[in-house]
Amino acid sequence: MKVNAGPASATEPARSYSFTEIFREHARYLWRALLGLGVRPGDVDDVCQEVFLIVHRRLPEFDGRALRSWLYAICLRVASEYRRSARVRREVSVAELPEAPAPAGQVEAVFAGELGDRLLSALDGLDDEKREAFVLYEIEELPLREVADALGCPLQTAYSRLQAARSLVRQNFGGMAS
Amino acid sequence: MSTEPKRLRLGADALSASIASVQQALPSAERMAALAERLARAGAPVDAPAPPAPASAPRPSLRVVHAAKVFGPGTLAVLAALVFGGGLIGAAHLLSKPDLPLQPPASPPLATPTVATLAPETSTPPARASGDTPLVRAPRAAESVSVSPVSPAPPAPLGSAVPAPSVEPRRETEAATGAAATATPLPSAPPAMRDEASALAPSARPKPASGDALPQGAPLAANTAVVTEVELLKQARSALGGDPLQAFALSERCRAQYPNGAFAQEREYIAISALVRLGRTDEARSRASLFRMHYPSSAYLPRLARMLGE
Repeated sequence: MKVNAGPASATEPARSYSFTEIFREHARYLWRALLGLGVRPGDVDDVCQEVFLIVHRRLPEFDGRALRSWLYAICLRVASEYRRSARVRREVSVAELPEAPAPAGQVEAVFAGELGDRLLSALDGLDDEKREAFVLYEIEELPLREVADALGCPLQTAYSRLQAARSLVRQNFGGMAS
Repeated sequence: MSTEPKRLRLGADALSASIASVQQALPSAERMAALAERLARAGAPVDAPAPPAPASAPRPSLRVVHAAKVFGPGTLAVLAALVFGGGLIGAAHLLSKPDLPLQPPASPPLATPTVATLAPETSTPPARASGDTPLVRAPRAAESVSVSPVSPAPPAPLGSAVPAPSVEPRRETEAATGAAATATPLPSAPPAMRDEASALAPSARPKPASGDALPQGAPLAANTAVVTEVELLKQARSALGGDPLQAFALSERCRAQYPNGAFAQEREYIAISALVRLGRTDEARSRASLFRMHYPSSAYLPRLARMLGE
């Protein structure tokens, strides 16, 4: 479970983490991030398990720096695969939403009410890059530097994506006739 | 670059509240314990002895308290989110229980105090708001005493969902709200707060893009208006289950006071729900039609359609 300690970064010194420690410290937040990233409430446990199996498998190669960026990067990848594989299913289900109360009922159970639903619906209108930037910065509240690391893009790019995402979320969230 | 845009959660509008609401949606300890079991079965055991908590990992509650101290108004969003949904977390907790072995949480770090304390509440509507009050009482009291009374927001032009912000600086209330926030542990804080307090200093905030409508002048009046609007809606929502007539009256009062309030959609949703419960279906339908006209892409539309059997 030990990892090699590489040269320390400016913000977070390299250190080793046990799988147990990572699970206890981060699992709940990664689980929540998956919801924000478009994983259906009924699927989050499965997808979160997948994330942690990858974490477990790749922990020996992890360099011990920027743990959260590393974890969220895995999250983003798994969620992205999930969205791709679920795309057809989702399109169908969105079209049927008014007549299909079951998924919404789960959202109600998991999420803290209508406002949460409203935000998630607004996020559904974003492309992957913007959605990821928004979720990591606004919901998970990572520092922008870590957001950029998790997204694998320069800081300025992360900033641009965030601003574009905010603008779209506001637009979608309001739902006001213009 | 050390500048970070101010988090939207720290605003005072419905979007801020919705973000805080999603942030509250952390899974229960039981759910995490079940996930740990599944991982163990899949060859990734989590049940190794818990290492002593590293000193470099502050508790989430400390992080949010720290942040709230710096950004008092941010607590507003959390408060609003609790109004609209805190009880549902309890419901989620209850729902998650039956199919689980119900082992006690494996370790303290997995415990979710927010969820746990809400759990005893039933999922009936009247219990929704009451389960939250211990968490939100302190900041609300502080804000109500530290903020001078402000007349209800004047009707904003149609198309604006937020009361017009005044130009008074937010700074005046920060000390009071921040002090209150320190007495308000919020265990479900996001993991990253500890790093931002300094980076988020308002002066360090980059110039926002044009789409970023966060009021820069820190609207004291808008904050106050939202608290009061939220208060009314909270009461309305609490009444929905047991006394829909009262719920409707409260939502109407809210509409009169804040015709273009930050939570207009929520208010109308409660009003329509109340009408349906009162059996005044025709009124509910015409009200819902107006709602659709005003908010053609609202996330509430599917709910309303279901509620009205459409």
